[in-house]
Amino acid sequence: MEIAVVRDLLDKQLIDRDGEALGRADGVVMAYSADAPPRIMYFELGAQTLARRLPRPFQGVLAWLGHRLSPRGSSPYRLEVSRIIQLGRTIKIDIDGTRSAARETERWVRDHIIGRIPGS
Amino acid sequence: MKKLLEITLGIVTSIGGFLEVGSLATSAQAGAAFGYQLIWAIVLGTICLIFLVEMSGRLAAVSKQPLAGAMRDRFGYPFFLIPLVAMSLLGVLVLASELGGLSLALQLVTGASFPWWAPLGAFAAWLLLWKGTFSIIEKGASLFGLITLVFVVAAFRLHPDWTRAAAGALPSMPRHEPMRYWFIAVSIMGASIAPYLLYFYSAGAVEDKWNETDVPVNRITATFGMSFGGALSVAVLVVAALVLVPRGIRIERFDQIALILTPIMGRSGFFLFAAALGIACFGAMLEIALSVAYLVSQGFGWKWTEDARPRDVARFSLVYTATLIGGAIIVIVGVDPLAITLMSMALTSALLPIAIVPFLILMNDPHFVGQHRNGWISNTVVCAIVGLAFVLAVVSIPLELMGS
Amino acid sequence: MGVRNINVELLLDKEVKDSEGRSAGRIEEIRARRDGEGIIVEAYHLGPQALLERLAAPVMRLSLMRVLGLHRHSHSLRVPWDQLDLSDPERPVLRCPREELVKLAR
Repeated sequence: MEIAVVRDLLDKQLIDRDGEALGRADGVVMAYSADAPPRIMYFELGAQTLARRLPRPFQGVLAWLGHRLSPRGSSPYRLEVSRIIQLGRTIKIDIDGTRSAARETERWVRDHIIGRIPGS
Repeated sequence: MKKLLEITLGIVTSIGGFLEVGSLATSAQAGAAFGYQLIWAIVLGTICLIFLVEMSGRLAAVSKQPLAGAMRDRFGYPFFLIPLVAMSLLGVLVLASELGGLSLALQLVTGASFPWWAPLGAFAAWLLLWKGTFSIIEKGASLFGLITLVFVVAAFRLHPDWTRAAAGALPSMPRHEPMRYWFIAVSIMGASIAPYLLYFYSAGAVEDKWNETDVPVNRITATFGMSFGGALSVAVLVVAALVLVPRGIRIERFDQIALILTPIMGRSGFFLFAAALGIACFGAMLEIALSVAYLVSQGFGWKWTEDARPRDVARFSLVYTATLIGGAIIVIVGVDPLAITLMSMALTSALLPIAIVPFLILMNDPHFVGQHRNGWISNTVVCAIVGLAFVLAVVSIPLELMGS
Repeated sequence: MGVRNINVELLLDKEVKDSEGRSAGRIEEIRARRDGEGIIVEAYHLGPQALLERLAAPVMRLSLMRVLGLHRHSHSLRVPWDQLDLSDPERPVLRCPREELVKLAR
C-alpha cells in the first residue's frame, strides 16, 4: 500500500481504539541508515516537536510554553507506527487512550483546572 | 416530508441566528448616515456568506472533517498557525463587542450602569456552554433570536419607498463623506462574512454527523436561510434610514441605536429593541466562544465536542472559558463598545483572505471533497467579494483611524 | 554507521545538493509503502519550493509559479532512497548528479 508521508501521516489526527482523539502527528520519526531503506518508526506528539518546526526566532516561546504546561517536561511522546489499525482521514492507533501518556496534558488540565470548577 | 422539516428548521435557525451586534450597528449606522445607499454592501456580504456557509457544510458532509481540522491536514504546521492566531484574536475582539451589546441591552432594560453587566453576561454564556449541549445551544439561540424579526415588522410599518431601496442594492458612489462611506461599507461586509460562523457551522455539521446526502439540503438552507438573514440587516438599515435621517440623528454612541424602534412602536419598541439586541448578542457570544474552541482544539488534535461533560473535553472547555474571559476583560476595562464593534468588523474584512484563501484551496482539492469540488462560480464570487472587502479595508481603515 | 532517528518534518524544505554541489531542489514529499507492520521509505520527491506545493492548489500553483518565474522547475524530481545521503540531516546530499533523476509531472 502506497503512502505519502507528508500527505497521509504528518499533521493528521490520531485516534485511539475507541475512536477518541489522541492528538495530531506533530512529527514523524524515521530510522535512517546508509545501507538499508529508511523505516518510518514513530509518530511524535507534543509542544517540543511543534516548537522545532518553527523558524529559529520563534522556537523559544513555544518551547517554553510547552515545558510549562506539560506535566512530563521535555521529552515528546512517541507512538509506534506498527500500532496503526487504520489509515484514512484519521489514523486509528491500537491503544487504550484513557491510560495513554498522549493524553497526559488533557488529564492534567482536567485535574488541575477544569475539574476544580463545579458542575464539570 | 422529513427533508422539508429539516430544511425549514435549517432556514429558521439561520434567520434567528443571523443578526448580532455587528450587523445591527453597521446597518443602523449606514441607514442613519447614508439612507438606502449602502444596501449593496449588505447584499454583497450576504451573497458571499451564502457561498461560504454552503461550502462549510459541504466540506464537513463530504470529508467528515470540520474546517479547522481540514486546514491543519492540508496545510500542516506552522502555516496553520497564521489563521489560528489571527482568527482566535479576532474572535476575542468580536466577542467583546457582542458582550458590549448584551451589556447595553441589559442597561437599557434596567437602567443600571454599563460595565456591571459584562461579567454577568459572560458568566451566563459560560454557564450555558458548561452545561448545555450543541443542539440546545444552536436551536435555543436561533429560536429566541427570531425576535429580531421585529425589525422587519417595523420596516414594513414605515412604508418605505421600495423602489428607492432597491436602487440602493446597486453600488453607488457616496455623495458626501466618502471615507466614512467606505469604512461603513467595509464594516458591513466584515459583519456579514464572519469567519467564526464557518468554523461553528462546519463543526456543527460534523457533530450532527452529516454525510453526502445532506449536501443538497445544505445548499437550500444556506441559500434561503442566509438570504432571509441578510434581509433582516436590510430591514435594520431601512428603519434607521427612515427614523433617524429625518430627525438628523447620526449614530455616534451605541445607545442611540436603541431609539430606532420607539417612534414606530412606542415604549414597547424600546424594550423590543433591547430584547432583540440582548438575545442576538448572547447567541453570537456562544457561537464565537465555541468557534475559537473548535479552531484551537481541532488544530491541535484535542478532543472537541459540546456534547460531553467539560471534564471529558478539558482543553476544549478551557479555550472557550478563556475566550469569554478575554472578551469580558476588554469590555470591563471600558473600551468604547461602538468603536470596538465597528473596528472589529472592519478588521474582519482586512483579515478575510487569511481565513478564506486556505478554505477555497481546500474546496478545490479532490483529496478532501472528492467530486464535490467548487464550481467556477463559487470560486469566482468568493474571490471577488473577499478581494473587494480586503482592498476596501486596507484603504479605509487607516483613513478612518487618521480621521477620528 | 549505525541507525539514527530523523524527524521527517524537519527535513522538509531543506535544500538538497547533488553530487556536483548544485542545487537539486527541496524535499517536499516522502513516498513509502506499507510492509506488514512497517512503513518502508521508497523515494523522496524534490520540488523547487516545498512550501508552495503545500499552499497552492494544482491549478493555482502552475500559474503562480509562472508568475514567479519558477515554471522552469515545475517538475518534481524523484530520488530513490539509496540516492539520498542523510548522514547530515541539515544538509541532505544526492549521491548522483541531478540529471540522473527521473522527472515527475506535477
